[in-house]
Amino acid sequence: MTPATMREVLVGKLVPYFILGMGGMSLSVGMGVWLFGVPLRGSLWVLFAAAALFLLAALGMGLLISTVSKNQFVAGQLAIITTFLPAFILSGYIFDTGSMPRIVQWLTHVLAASYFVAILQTVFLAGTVWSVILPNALALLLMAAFFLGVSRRKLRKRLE
Amino acid sequence: MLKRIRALMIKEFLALLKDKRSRVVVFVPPILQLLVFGYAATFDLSRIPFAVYNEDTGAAARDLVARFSASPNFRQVAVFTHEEELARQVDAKRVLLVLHIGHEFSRELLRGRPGPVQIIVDGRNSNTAAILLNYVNTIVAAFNVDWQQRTGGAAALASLEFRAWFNPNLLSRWFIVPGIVGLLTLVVTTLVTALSVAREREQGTFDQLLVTPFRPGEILLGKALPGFIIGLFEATLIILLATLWFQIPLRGSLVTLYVGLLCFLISTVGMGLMISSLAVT
Repeated sequence: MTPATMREVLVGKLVPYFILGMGGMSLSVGMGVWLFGVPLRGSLWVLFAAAALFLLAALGMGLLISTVSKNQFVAGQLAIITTFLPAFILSGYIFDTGSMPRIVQWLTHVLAASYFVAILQTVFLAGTVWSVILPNALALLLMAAFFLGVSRRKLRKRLE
Repeated sequence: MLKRIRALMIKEFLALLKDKRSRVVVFVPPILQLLVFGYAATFDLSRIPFAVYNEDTGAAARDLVARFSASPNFRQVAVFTHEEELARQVDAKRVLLVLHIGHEFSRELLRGRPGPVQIIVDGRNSNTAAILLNYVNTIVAAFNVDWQQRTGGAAALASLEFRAWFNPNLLSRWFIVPGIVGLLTLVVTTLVTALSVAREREQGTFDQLLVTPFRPGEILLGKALPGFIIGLFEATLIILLATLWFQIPLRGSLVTLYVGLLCFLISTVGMGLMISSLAVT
């Protein structure tokens, strides 16, 4: 047992990945704007605030996956399955979610990526439209709080 | 040599399948994903929320609006009377398409001149927007034909007869699901093989494996074959589901399909092994 508290361990584990994620995000935004000429009509600050929320939710989910799965194989499988293809297909990035069957539409609501995609499309192309950004940001915030909270409790239980 | 490879393969399968969670995680998610994506991944749009901004009181305008409302692709959610309201609702994504008919529309048509109709679409997803415009064109074309017949005008000069080969109804599912077969097989096979060496490295058993009498080629084969077999099994399951559940026609020969699948599996297993031999964890 290290003298670090559970909170310190968690924060210490998350911060490097958070910085890494924000770095990747900045790189993609920069390349999108300067290399591919995508317009960025909304506020850059809103974009980064939303990205931070999304990263917290994503990190929380990753943390939860790695606490519930015993080995790296299961964790890797789960992580890839719950993120990679769903982010493409169920997030509204390519396919219109409104035209999907009801049950699939419910699934899109538990996916952090769908909220982030809505914010991204709006901030880049339409501008800072609060009526789109606020509800989606709130959803991201709730998901982040849920995932981080649950994985914190799980971790504590296991130690005792 | 065959005996030794067999022993290695059995060991690999045991390592992968002895744990219940790994077992579930290898087989259940790809099937679930195919089912969900098969339903989700469609370019066909339905119940798209649209709004009407009609400044014309004529019958022709009413007829056009009625055609939009009656279409299963569209769902009328609002009627606008002001320009600002329109911008707000489109910004907020409450409507994806606005049908704007100017006040001169019916009058111009009655005079025998083209009546302009403005369509505003949310271009944030350009693909969805393009499909929407396609639907709009179909509706407006039907309106034009009816109008001409009713007013006794000349029939259209060229009439387009449209025929899609191989997918007569242009169902996007028929185009998406075969691709997903490949994607899912790729993900599962790469993961199974990529993590097999990584697992040994992590548990420190890779060095033990290296000091056994196995030759490097045998170790490689022993690692490659289980991933190959699991990929083959998984792909078969997915193909069965695609043809039996989603009714995707399989018109070519099964032999050709499997020859292609084998080549694909060899390359993905090779890639997975390369990843795992390069990456330390």
